[in-house]
Amino acid sequence: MTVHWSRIAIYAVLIVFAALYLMPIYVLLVTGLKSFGEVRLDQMWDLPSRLRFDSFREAYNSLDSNLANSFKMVIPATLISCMVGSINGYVLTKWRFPGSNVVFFLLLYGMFIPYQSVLIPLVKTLQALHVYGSLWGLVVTHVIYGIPITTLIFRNYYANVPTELVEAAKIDGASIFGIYRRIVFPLSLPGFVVVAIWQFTSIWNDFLFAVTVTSNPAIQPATVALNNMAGSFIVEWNVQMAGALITALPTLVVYILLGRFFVRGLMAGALSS
Amino acid sequence: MARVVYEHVTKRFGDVTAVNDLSLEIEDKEFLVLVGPSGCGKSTVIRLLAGLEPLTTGNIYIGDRLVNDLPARDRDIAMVFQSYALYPHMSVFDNMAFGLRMRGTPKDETRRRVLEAAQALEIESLLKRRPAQLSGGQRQRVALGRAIVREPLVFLFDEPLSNLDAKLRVQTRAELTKLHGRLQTTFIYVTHDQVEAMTMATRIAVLKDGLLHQVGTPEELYFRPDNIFVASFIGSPAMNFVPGTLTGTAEEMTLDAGAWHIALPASRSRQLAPFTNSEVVVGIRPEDIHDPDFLPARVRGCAIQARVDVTEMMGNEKFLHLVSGTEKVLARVDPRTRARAGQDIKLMLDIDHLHVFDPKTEAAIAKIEIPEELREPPSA
Repeated sequence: MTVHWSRIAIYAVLIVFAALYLMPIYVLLVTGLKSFGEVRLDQMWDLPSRLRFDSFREAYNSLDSNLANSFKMVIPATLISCMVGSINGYVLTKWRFPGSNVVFFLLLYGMFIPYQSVLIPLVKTLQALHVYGSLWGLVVTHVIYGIPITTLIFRNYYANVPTELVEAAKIDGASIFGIYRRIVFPLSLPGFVVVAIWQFTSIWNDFLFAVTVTSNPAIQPATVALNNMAGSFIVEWNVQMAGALITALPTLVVYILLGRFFVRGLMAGALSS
Repeated sequence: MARVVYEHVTKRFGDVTAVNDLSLEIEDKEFLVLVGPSGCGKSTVIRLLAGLEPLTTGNIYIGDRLVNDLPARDRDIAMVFQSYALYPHMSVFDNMAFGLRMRGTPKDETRRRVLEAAQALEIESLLKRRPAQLSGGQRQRVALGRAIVREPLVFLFDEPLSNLDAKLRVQTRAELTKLHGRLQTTFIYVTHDQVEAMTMATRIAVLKDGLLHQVGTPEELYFRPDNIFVASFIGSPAMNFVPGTLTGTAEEMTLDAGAWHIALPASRSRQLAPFTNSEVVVGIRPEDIHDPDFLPARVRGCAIQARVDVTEMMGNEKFLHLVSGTEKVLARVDPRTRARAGQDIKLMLDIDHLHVFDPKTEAAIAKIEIPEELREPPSA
């Protein structure tokens, strides 16, 4: 009987927290479906009088080129981040060199540097590289800022790949990069999925770097454009919220699609050697 | 085909000396087994040869080549790992072909060699499978196959049988011996199991704490161990050790060990005379203690009294856990021996098989002879 009651208690707590988490999304959704006239603070929790998709259409029309910008930035940035993290993790676990632990700790320190503190040197560096103000500038920024976390995830993942596999390949005649390409990389799918989800989400959602690096509205990513949709005097809350939902959609899709691969990867990833 | 030479090889990991000034020559086509308790540095010895660890000091030669700084892939060796280390994302065929492909062997040549090895190992039907779809014994064969197709100068084995069940281990042992005969290549094999060493090796090297204790044929190690460690490590159940004293003259020496009073025959007396009046450790193997009723004709016995503590019937033999004086002794006697726990019985020690060691240095001070009939080198 006690088991029974504890079950109920667990579910009750879970439901309460789920509801708390879902409340803002509920408000986003119902407000996005309302007309401008219907949006009032005292009716915030009410359902719309009838379903309108006008605000979604309007938001999409003003965001579509920025969404494209976001994709153009986030896809190469994520792919490059994954590769960099994977190669770092491989070298740090399977080709230990004197001082490799020091290098690893220095890499990790990067994680504790707050964005805000590096903005001015960041701009200066990007200007020197002639990528300031472009999407490639953002790609470079995100790849570099992602090195600590991607390296950490891959290092932990590769720690569980038996070193004997690497040794066997060494004896079989493969080079350091040959071993990566033929042995380690093909076994890395679960690691890549985790890192891809992480990087895609954080790069897509980034606002501060995007607003700092790109000033031209034509190349700004969706997060910046979404912020700029709000006028100085009037905020069209219904359009704003519809835009927020549209902008949040890709990360949701990535979770749903890759999340499955992730679970499957874990199941099949039994490295029974 | 090549001989392998270790010349004053030392390997340190930080403060730990894993291999301490090892000098060892392994002849071409030899099946050398490195044996020792876990942590004795035996795996490090072959990992140094494979090029997986750099050496601290010394030289290693394969054939005439000094390989100290040669990368693993250029040493022309193959290694079978304890975990087999099969590439999990590749088929059996690809696992076996990997080394050849890495060396740019032509496609049809690669195919021919993989199929040949697969045939010899009876794994042709598994070539399309992944390692995860194989049993332990099958994986072991694939790991062997991966080594064979390379046709290397030297084969290295790092405890390859320890993941197999007992029955498969006995079977694979015999297959490895046959394989060695067929390939006519140098085999270096690491194990902690002295049975594997005794059954397969042409020579055995015994290691402890990074130090080489003795190298020799299985017969030499069994009958003429250099020291107490080798004597206790080789042979199962292990040799009994009893502290004692030697007295007498070259004509007639006496050995007093615990409750035993042993009059030594003339030949052994002469051998042990220089050690008269010294403390010694007497070693006697369980199989050299006999029931007087079943004493083999060749054995010169010396009677002792002992109390039976426990008896263990094995079917083909019987183990008697004995207490003689204050010493505990194990005897391995004829299964027909009548002995009950608590009984005092008379037993015979094989007087020609008493090993005598110095208690301080633990070194053998008088070795026994290898029996005549075993002295012929085993026919290849």
